[in-house]
Amino acid sequence: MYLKVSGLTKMYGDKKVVDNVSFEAEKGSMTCILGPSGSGKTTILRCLGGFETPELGSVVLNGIEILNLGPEERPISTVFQSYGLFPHMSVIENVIYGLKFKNIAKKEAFKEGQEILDMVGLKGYENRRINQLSGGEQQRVALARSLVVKPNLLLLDEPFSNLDAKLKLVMREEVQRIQSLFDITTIFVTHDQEDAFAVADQIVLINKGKIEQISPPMEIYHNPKGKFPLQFIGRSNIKVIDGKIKFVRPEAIKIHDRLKEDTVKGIIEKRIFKGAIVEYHILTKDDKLIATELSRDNIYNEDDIVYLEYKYRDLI
Amino acid sequence: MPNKFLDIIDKLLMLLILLSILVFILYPFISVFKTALVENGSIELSHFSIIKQESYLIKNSLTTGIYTTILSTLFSIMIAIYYYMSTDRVKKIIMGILMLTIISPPFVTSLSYIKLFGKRGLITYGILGLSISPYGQLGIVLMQSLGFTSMNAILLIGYLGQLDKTFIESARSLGAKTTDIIKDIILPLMKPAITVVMLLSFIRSLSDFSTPRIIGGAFNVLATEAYLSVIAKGDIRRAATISLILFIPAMIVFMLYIKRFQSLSTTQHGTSSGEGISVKKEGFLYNLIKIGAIFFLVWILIQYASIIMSAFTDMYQGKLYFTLDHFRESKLSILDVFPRTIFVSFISGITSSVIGLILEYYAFIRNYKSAKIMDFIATMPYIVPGTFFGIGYILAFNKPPLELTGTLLIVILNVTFRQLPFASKIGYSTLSQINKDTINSVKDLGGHNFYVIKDIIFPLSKSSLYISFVNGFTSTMTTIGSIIFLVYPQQKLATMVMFDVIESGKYGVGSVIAFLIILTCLIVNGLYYFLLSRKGKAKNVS
Repeated sequence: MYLKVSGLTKMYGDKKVVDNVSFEAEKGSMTCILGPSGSGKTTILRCLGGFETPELGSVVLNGIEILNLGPEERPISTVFQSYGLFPHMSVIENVIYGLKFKNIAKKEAFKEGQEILDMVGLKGYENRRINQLSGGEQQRVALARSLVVKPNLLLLDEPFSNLDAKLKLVMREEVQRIQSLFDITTIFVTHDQEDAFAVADQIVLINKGKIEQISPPMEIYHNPKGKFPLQFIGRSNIKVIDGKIKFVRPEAIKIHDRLKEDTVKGIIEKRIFKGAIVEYHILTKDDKLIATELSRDNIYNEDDIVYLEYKYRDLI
Repeated sequence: MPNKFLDIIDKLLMLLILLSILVFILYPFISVFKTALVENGSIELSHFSIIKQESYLIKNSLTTGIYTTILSTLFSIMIAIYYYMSTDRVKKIIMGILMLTIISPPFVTSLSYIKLFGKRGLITYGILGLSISPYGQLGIVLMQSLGFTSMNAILLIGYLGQLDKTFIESARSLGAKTTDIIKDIILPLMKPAITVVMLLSFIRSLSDFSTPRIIGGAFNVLATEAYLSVIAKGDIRRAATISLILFIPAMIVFMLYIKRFQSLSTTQHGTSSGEGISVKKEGFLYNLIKIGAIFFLVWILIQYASIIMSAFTDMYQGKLYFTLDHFRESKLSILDVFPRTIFVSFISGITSSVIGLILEYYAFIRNYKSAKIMDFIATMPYIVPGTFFGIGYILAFNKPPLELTGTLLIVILNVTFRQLPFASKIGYSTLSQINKDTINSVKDLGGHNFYVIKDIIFPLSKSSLYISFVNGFTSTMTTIGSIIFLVYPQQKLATMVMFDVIESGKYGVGSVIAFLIILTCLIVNGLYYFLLSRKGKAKNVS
């Protein structure tokens, strides 16, 4: 395996903020560390980048143990949440800063920097000042600056949290495009599951410093392993039957307007219109369910009688 | 209370504040201008001929200013960067040493310099067997640098503390070593703060008369000449003219950098440690900086140790021995002086803090244009030489309707309004942190503007009022420039007694007074931090 993290443990005082974390990543893959705020996900990233020293564990990248190396010696580059662009340098100066330490001649460095700016869609931005750039442009510069040193591993800390909703969608695609263009092994941290689903090859779900599940996005959504993944990922109707946790996703509930085989009668208690989808809170004989449907021309009204087709699944 | 009555109080309060600034800041300024420029109703510039006649004074002032600026800027950069990269414990030690110079009179180091490096100096004569005259330009430059470096370093440290740490982490992530980080990231980013520090040092050097007076020997500068014009020659017009000459560069610098001054001066006490930065403490540049910083800090410590030592010891046949003679000897000159000094400092600390806050309230919460202009005027005492402000007071208040010369009131007014720039900057930074909606809520709930001040502004500004008070108290305890002409012999303040005894060569007594001033300031500052930490602890428990 290209990256192998094992037994990573980081203490703040006597509190374990990262607790025995192990995961692996293939070359060229995109891994997302997902978790609620305060779960220790950024600390994991900082341990990988070399900005925190873990008490225990090992990180082997491309066959080399890197934990005893300083950040400047690791073949890893981080794009920080606030980007950390140098405000006193121009765009191109920022981009080629790392080449200085690879003994590359200025002229050659400029050429490389320009090529990379071109690839991230910032051709012609060479001499701009950092404070003249929009949030999305700043992120592109930060990406270019990290990519130009050709790191073995790229780390992105909450890459989309500073962007507004529209721009976030654009940059999500951009990051994905750039990542596959460079075929660079990437780890990014987010608290937003949509980001994780959209971009990641595998999701490392973390809670209170511990790994809860490692799975590809579809797998983690459809087959959550344990209570936390079930509650954190997506929404579900959860029920305990005979001491066993069972669940059904809101979109897995089919709503019919007339009686059919294997349906349960219910009444719509509340309707929440959300644009593309509609959310119904439905009361049945022995359940109170949340169900969602795509918006259509005629949607159900509150107090409508409906017939539900659904099946609880066991939580593994 | 009926709103109409409150309206009147509100208006009166504002009028009072604005009027006081006009009378006690602007009017003295104008008086200096008038005296220097106008004679018998027409403009008369003949007094400026000293520029030609005694051009050596200007040369001396400029060269001293330049040398001091270079030296103190260099040292303060080294200390600031060393501090920035140190652990929290080392940071505390550095800050403690820097605070020592902040809470002592400006010329106190000159005293120990003479004791250590003078003709009979402990180091030059006692250890090295040399007999060098400490007096002259070198002494002035060294002592000014020693005094200014601390304040400069604290400014730079405050500035560095605000820098986004990801700049440094990004650089490391891209492969930058410690030397590269200092050279490529930290120093370039410090540039605006360094510029301010350089300008401040230059202006302060130009306007400093006490250091050259004590250690300059025959080497005179413009500031000492202004002082001597009043004290020795009684020629106040000449003094006003020289003060005006000194005022011009200060004003130019101030106008150019007014914004930066504003943002910087509020960070003086903002020494938040926060998370340290993680940089390997290695490399040529780091070690150079470390050596420079430690050299300077040790130098300060030696100077202060020597003051304490010379307060408690004396020489007899070349041998040092412990004695309380200096304390006995100084009893006469300090017995009534200290209570008076503390009284004046106390009043000025409180008054300036309150006026500063209310002024900023009218200027930036109520958005009165007139208050904004007053706010600008209130910053002026920050940059003018102390002597300028003192001479202004003599000229402005020596005749009816405001005949105040000779009273203690004029001294209190002078030091109060001299502290106003700092107080108002602190007030501004506090007010800008108060949410406008909180203020609007009071009005929305039916409260009058008066209650906004009483129930919101004052309670929320408590901690910054403390800071402002401690600063005002300390500055007044240690000031000399602005009050030296105002105080009559029978009501001297501590710094002036100290200045006098040093001038007449009684270094032991001088050391005792210096020791007591520092001790007083230390107690007040310590009390503040004690209360602050107790409050913090109480908060943590709940």
